[in-house]
Amino acid sequence: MLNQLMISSFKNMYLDKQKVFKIAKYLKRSELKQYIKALIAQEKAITVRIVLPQEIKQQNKVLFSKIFEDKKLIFDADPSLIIGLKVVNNDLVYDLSLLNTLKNLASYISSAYD
Amino acid sequence: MINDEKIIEELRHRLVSFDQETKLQNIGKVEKNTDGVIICSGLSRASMGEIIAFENGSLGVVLNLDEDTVSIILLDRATDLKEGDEAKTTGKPLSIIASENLLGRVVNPLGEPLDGRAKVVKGKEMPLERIAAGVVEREPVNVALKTGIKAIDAMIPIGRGQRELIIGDRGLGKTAIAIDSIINQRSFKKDKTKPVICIYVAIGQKQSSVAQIVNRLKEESALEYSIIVAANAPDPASLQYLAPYAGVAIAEYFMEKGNDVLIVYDDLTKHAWAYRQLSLVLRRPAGREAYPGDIFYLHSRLLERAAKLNSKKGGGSITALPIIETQAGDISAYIPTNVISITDGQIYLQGDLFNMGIRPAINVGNSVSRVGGAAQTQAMKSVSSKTRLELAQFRELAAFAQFGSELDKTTFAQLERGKRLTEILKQPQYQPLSESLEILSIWAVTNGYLDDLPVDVVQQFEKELHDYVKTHKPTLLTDLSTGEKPNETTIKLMQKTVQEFKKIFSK
Repeated sequence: MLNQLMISSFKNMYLDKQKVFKIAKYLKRSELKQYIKALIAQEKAITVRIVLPQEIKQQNKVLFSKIFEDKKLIFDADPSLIIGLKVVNNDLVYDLSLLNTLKNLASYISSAYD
Repeated sequence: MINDEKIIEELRHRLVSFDQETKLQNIGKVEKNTDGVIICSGLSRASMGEIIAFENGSLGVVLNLDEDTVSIILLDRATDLKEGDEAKTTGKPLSIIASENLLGRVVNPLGEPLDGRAKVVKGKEMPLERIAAGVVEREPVNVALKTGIKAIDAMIPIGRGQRELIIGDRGLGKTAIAIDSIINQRSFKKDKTKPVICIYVAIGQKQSSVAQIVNRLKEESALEYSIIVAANAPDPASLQYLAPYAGVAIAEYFMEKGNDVLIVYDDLTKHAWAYRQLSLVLRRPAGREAYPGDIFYLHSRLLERAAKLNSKKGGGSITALPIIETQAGDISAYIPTNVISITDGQIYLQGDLFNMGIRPAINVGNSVSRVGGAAQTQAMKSVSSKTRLELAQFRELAAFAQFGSELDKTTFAQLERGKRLTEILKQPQYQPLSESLEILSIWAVTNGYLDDLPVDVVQQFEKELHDYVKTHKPTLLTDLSTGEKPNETTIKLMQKTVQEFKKIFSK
């Protein structure tokens, strides 16, 4: 039942605040905790975070939305990536940035050689 | 001054094995940190036994996969790990780097050095969890592993590839037997044979005890072919749980290269305690004595990895000497009965015998080697076949004779023989004997050459006999060390030697 409530709390991949408050009024404390956890998990599941070294142009955003058709996209800028991009899809991370490559290199050198 | 080109060339050479391929990362978030167990959300693609890396640099191993969370045991005492910290999978199962460079080293179950020397970074990655060799890959145990302890080599012989449990209360000499067995392997230099690699796994021991053992092995020139894997008392329960698996992973590296390996687990009682602690924190259902339901499997999968491989697989072997500490001599408790049913025999040490001065305090009646004579040389078999029976008869008669009734000549002779046999089987610590000296001692007592000596001089007699034979009759020792049943000439030489020495000794 809590699962169904959680699914109905979303409208077009965005949280319907009014519905959430309505549902929350009728839940016990323990049920409310589980409901909030489920909402957080669902939010994570439907959101893809794309991090780039600089602000992205609108036409490129459209490209990404075609790749992740049924997901909500959030674009962030992080200059420390240097070049490349990082895609966070729930608990899966595709880190294609130069920063990640350099970190892996440093870790490889420090663990392989004393 | 090293020039830039050389540095670049060196870096290029070293980085040739660097994997540049982008890997998909699976991340999670720390929800709870309880007693060394981390509960994480996310990590949907984590697998059992996989290493997890936390953002503070700590490492953990996945032990539970629940519907929405993953339970991970920490491999160090990370006190700064807090709720919300990121965790990610590494895609690697827990493994240890094994190589010949580990010989003479003291390491923890993660391969990190504890002896102040450099970490061993080059070698083969051996997984800690691995399925044991199958039936077809094995062959029967038929080569002796000589411990150098007369009571064991004569009556409870251990073979290469066997699992022989050492069980008894605290302070009765369990570790002493294991260490003497390790020290005795140094004879490979004299015999010009391949050394038996020895691995001592210390689980939950005091650090001072482990330091003493390391020093003793160094003094006896045994450390050069030994490896110590230590997860001591102050270490987290996760490391104590992993220590025996790390030890056997290293042993498998050497076994696959065709070497014979001796591994000592000291002790599996503390290993069971560490696993119980982890299981209770992981909220696994508690069974008998609060141990988890798979406590038997914990030890059975460890001990099954001791094996004798057939010649197609290299002919190597792992001989396991697990140690179990009992409380008040109770060998019918949960963990002792579990391990007894897994191993191929047990050496039972008894407090009463220890207090009477019989050391090693082996209760021959309750001790057994299920491999038996198959693991003895013909020479040892020929002299020791009567020993166990004579001792058993002596112990029965000794109890009867306490009532003070008059004894007939035969009974009296049996009692006297038994007393001398008991004396001969006593052995000081750190003084393992070669097989030829063991055979000589046991032959002398079972053939009545000590019957006319007072019981209290038997040990002195034995010591001086050994010195005499080493100096004046080295050929006798050479004949006895072949392993073949002594022929008439050798027996006559033994008779002559002992009789000659008795004359000198009685003066």
